Amino acid sequence: MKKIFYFILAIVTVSCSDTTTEDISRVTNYPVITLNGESLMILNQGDTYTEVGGTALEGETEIDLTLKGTVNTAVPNVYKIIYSAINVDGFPASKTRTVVVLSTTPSAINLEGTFARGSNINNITRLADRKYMCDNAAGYTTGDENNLKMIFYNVDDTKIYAPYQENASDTDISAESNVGTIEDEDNFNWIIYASSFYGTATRIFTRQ
Amino acid sequence: MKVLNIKTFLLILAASVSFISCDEGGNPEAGGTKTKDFAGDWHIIALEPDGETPAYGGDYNLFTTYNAASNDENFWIDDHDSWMVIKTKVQVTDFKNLTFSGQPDSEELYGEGTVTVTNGKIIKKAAHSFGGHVVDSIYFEAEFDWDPGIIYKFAGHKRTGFLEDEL
Repeated sequence: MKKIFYFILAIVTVSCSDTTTEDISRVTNYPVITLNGESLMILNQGDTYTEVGGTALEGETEIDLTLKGTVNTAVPNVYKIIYSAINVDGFPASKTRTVVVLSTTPSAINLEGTFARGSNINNITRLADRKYMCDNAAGYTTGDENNLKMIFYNVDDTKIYAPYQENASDTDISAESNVGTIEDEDNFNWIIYASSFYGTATRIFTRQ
Repeated sequence: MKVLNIKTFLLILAASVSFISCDEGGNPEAGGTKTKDFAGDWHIIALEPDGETPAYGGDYNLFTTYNAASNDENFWIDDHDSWMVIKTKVQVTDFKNLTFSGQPDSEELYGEGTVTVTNGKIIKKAAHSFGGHVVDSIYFEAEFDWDPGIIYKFAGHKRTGFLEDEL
């Protein structure tokens, strides 16, 4: 009888013992990816894209870097190469290289001028045949401090793209566009992915 | 015999204690309220009966709709005591088509008067926010005891939370 009593007592005392977090904590080093070369490359159609790669470090140790994506420089477009790595504990990291392949045909569309989204003005200036600068990429209230000043490219007279730009506004909002659409010389639309303030509505611009 | 019985009993007890003693009960399903499809923050403007002129020259204000404690067809419309001053309970008339209306001369809690809400309707993805995002629209009519016979029209859209969409 006494034995049984001790048996039960033992079960009751050990059954909920909370030793699951003892002696198991240790350091995990997140993968740190460094790209060789620039994270944004602007090429002309027909140029050669050379993959310069990058490195992934887990602490001091170099680990495998996985590349996803290809660049076809024969076809003007926006290409993304994604470099990713996973550390020994399964924590991932990734970095993206954006390769913009511009058409070499002289552009038939000149987007320079004053565009508007509703009553909000976006002034566009031309920096090169296919390179532009705009002062209100999201088409927000004219003159607002959150307006995004962004460089963008007319890829092939149908596609428009503004690469990721840090601190594109006076309020330090960083932003990138999707690959938007040029309807014609007077109309284009895109989506702006911003670090704050802006949502992801399709922003439609029309020449004033 | 008696001793055996006690032993068996204690063994079963011990076994069941060890099996159930660490049961955390799992993750309970949180679920939602009955009127969750009607709940949210809205930007709503009050209009004169013509449906165009802003009532008393007002602009959009933040409204909130939320479930009543009873968690049934009742929910609250609340403009946070801002412009037209309305906080009243209304009832869902159709959960599927998202329509609602209030009882005639329901209590209005901010002005301590009464209000009659009619023709309330929410339409999914039928409006644009100030920044141009596609959002749900809301509409209802209200007749207040301080202006009998005049039916104000309230129209607006769902709040997104994006700063470009804020008031």
